[in-house]
Amino acid sequence: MNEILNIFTDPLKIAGQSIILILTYTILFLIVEAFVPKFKAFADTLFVIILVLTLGQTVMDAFSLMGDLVNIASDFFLAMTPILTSLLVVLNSVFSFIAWSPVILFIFEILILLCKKVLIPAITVALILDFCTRFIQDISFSKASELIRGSVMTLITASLIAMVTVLSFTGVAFFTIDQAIASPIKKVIEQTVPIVGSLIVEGFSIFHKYQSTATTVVGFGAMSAFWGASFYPAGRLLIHALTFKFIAAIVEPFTGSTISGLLDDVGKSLLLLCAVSILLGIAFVFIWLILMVILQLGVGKSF
Amino acid sequence: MTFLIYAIILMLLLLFIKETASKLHGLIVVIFFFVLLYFLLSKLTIPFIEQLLSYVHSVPYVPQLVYSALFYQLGLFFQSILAEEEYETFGELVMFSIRIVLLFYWTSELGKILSNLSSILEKLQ
Repeated sequence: MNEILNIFTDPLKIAGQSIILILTYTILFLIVEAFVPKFKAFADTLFVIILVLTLGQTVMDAFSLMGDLVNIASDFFLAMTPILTSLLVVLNSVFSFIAWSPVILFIFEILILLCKKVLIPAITVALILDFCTRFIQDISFSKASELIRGSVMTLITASLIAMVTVLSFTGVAFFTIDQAIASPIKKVIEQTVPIVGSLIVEGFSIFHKYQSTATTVVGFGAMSAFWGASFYPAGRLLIHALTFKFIAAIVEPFTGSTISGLLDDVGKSLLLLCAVSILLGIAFVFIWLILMVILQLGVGKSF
Repeated sequence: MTFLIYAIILMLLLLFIKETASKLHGLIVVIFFFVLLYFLLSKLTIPFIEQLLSYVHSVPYVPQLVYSALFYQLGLFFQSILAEEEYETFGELVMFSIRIVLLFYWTSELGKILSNLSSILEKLQ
């Protein structure tokens, strides 16, 4: 039980630790600057280096978490696709219910491919560009990194819209997507920055809709385990991202715009990673739900 | 406060020497500089830094940071004493070497974590 709790408290502990660390460093830098005023030009660079040294581990953790998640998800989808397609062939009646599932599978595959080949390298490049911008202050790459982040965000939004459109086109029986789910997506198109928030809300509402189906099959406990497993990495990444945003907000009055800007950029990049992992989580839950519906149909249960 | 009294006594001595034996003045200024520097470091600076570090001993990279600042300040002192003896270029050289040493240390620390990062990026591929 303790270990399970640790899974949830560890990210918070890391967040608290890094906030305290950065506060200590800020105070220390203020003291040093008070005693050695000429050290300031050097100290600004040094602060960036120390940030990389202390918080770099967190960023790398986030990236490796994302990498593991993508690898697991791609293996999972690769293993599930033949089972799902053969079940679709065997059980004719499934077609009437899950007419959309081949398309959905295709979209999920595209999503995984995007994550593996485009998203993570692109976000890494954006982070490195941000770092270079702040570290070498005469040369600015901020436009380039913003462009990369913007295009990644567009890709995510596009795949999300594709998923939702397919779902609402072929909405059948209990899988009907109502206006309540479709409207946040429209807001997402309008303003892509708070995409993470509406993604979370949407994830919740989707889960809420299908929960009734799921409880009849394996019970609420198993379903919530799937839910937790799918969205745990996303939550963890969200905590990391918000920590960076929070530290940037705290540090801003005391240090130059360089440091808080760097922290803010890192936070933005991590929020993107979080958005991607939430999408993967939704995909994961959907595949399980499809499998459960097929199982129910297989044992002769009708809707 | 002891340091203040030392500084004033030494200044008076220097003024005296300047009036009587002005040829030796430059030499004695350098000697007194080192005497005062020794007192400053051993009686004030090092105890202060040790007290400061004892509060934050669990935070990584704090000693390195504080001692880099101290090192930089010492470099500034040496630069100004060299400039007083009209050896400005030597002072610049000292500052340049100190900047190089600091950068050398911090880039080697940064290098460790960058190699870590690149290994993770390789794992992603």
